[in-house]
Amino acid sequence: MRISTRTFLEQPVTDMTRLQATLGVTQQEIASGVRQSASEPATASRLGALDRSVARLAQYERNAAFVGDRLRSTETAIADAGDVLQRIHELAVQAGSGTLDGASRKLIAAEVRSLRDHLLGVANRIDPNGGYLFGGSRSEQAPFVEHWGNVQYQGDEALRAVEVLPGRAIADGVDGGSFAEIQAEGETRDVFAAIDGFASALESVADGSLSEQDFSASIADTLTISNAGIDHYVLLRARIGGRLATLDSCLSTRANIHADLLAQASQLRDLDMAEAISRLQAQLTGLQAAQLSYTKLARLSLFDYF
Amino acid sequence: MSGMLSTGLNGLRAFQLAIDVTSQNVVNANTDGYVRQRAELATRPAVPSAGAWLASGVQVARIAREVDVYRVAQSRDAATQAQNAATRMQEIGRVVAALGRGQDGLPGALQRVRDALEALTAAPATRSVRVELLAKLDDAATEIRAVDARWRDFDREWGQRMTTLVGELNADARAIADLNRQIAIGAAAAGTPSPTLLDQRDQLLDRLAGYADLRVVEDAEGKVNVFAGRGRALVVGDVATAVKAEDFAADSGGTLGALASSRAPLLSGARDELGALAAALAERLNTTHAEGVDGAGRSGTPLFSTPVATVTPRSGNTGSATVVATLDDTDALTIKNYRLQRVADAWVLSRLDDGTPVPMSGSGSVIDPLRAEGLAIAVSGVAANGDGFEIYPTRELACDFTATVTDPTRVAAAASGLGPGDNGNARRLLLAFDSVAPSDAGTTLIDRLDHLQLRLSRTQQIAARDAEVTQVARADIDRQRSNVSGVNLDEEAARLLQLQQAYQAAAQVVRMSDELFRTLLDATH
Repeated sequence: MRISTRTFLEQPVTDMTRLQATLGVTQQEIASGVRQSASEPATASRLGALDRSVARLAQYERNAAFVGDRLRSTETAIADAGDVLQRIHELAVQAGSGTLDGASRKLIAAEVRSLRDHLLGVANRIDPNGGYLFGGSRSEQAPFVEHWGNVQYQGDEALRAVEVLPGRAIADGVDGGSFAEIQAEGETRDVFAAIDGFASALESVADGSLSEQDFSASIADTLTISNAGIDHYVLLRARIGGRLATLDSCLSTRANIHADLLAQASQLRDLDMAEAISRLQAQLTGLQAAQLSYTKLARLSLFDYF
Repeated sequence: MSGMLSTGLNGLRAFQLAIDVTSQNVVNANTDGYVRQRAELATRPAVPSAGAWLASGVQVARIAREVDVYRVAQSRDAATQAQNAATRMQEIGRVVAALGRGQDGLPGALQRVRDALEALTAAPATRSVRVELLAKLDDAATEIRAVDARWRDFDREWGQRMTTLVGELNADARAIADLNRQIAIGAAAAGTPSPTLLDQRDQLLDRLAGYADLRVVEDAEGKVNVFAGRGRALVVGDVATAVKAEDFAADSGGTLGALASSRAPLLSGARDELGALAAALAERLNTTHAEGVDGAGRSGTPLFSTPVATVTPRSGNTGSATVVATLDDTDALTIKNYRLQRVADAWVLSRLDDGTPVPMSGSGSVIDPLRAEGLAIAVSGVAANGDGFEIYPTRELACDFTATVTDPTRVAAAASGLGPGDNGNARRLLLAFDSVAPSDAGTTLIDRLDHLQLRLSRTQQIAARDAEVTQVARADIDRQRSNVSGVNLDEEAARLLQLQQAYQAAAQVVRMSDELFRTLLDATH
């Protein structure tokens, strides 16, 4: 077959250019550590979806941290409330022992009053983000407000569900109203009213306006309430503890999903370095051979023998 | 003996000419578009002599231009296809890249809207979270506008490139018409066309083949008639007809066809889809936002600008009717464009691309608009029969898509009737964002964007494969063409040696005839 000198000289140049382009791809793969195939539409789309899933997990992580912070603050508050009731119980036992004079009863009354103020502070505690723990959806205002000496609840029972895993939402607190509501002997009693009643009874018996008999009844009542209150807060705490445990298990589920997503992405994206380097070597050898043969062939000309 | 002398001299002349032709080939071995020539030697007419026919030497019968017209035609077709595919690959690549990938660009911006909604469900009353959400909504709207602006820039640029290319095409066509004339004159004068002019004309035709699909028909005088694109006459005889960029469409082939097809259907379709995506985003979030209340108990206002379809009245409408089309149900939109036409005192709706009629309900008044495929069309004024309107439901939505809420206290995260710490509506917004449109089974907004991107990338990948295949085919046919028409220096060197030898031999014939003559003279003295 006849071949023109120009084709004869240009064809190897075209071939070498192609070899160089292939080499360039391999070189880029090695430099970036990313497979060339990662930029193919289907793979790129899959990688995009995987990256988005990873980003979504990060948002779930932030949500979980937020819920965790809030639940831990709630748990501490409930524990503190339990301590207050424990102390009220001790004081009720002490006050009921019958050997105390008026001054001692007044002293106990003062402590009860300060415990009640402390409990009000606990009930109006805020989470690390500034929202009231027991206000329900009225998170911007103190839920327990003192009005003419009585504590009134101004929040609502709305609970906030927050997603911490796809399809898995956890309530980030307790029903605020239930904080102060204690079930004792079949009726719902307000903890603040009960404590106020105990303090008033102490003060009244000390200044003689309450009979010892009525005082004893009040002590018995306080003991009942404080016992029920201790149980109430233990129960609330257990509920929060359960949620925190769920949160922890979601954490490990998230970690598993995360690892799985990263492994899948890596399989699509990451280059097998050993394979790429041996491929580069083979391509280099090919190019060198092409260059060598070209310099030999290009020199051939019949005119050299004229 | 005089026969011998003249035979020798003829030989010298013929070989001289053949050596000239070969030298031409040697020096033009690297000239673009040069077609090698070959001096064809033939015996001179025989004359009767002593009862026999005696040949009277050698002559150059003709100087052949070595060209294979079929391969030339194939090589031009291959150039048309290769240029078309290479241009498509490059330009579609830019369309895809404008969307951005992964965390950059539009997919990332949408993902961040979702993240911000998710954060709002965790801390609905926190100011920084609300500020962040509004920032992300604004980012997404800005990114949608930016993608559309980039695409419109491409469209403008492609339009300008087509105009420039068509200018060059017209200039080349004029040059070809001019060459046609010169070639015919030369052929009439010398009996054969000038090979140099033929080379020039072929080169121009080769270049034109890259611009658009080309058909070349040679007439009896040796002039070529040239038709470009879809059979549009470019050169007929000595006359070139100027063409315009609008004469070339998606099926014109070559670079012009590739640019035209990148503008429509590719880019216009992508813009329709981007607009539909923006409309769906706006409808879902706006509707849900209105169901919630903010910290002060106020209902949510639209988070994004409300999309309105583009309606273009056809020029030549005689009635006074004006048409307003709104997007009634973004989930029912089909990403098609329509023609609304008044026929026999009734409105008829059909798809713009294939003319499929679309049934409508409603009367067309403002309170009872015509409804079809997610659109609500209200007509006011009086239309005459034959009046028409083109409706582009989502084409121009992305270009002025904006986030409309700027005050973080106006984020309606709470369910109606609850305080600012409630996340009921924030959760609904998230569900709306993730919700699946019934019309395109199983796709969320992000999936939809993903599909658009995937489809464009696939189109580009196919164009890239086309580009590779057509490039190889073109190189192959060009090589075959060059193997016929190109110069082989070794061949020419051998021919030079051969002709030199023949010239020397002919010179010997002349010398011998001279010697024979002398011998005769000496004998008679």
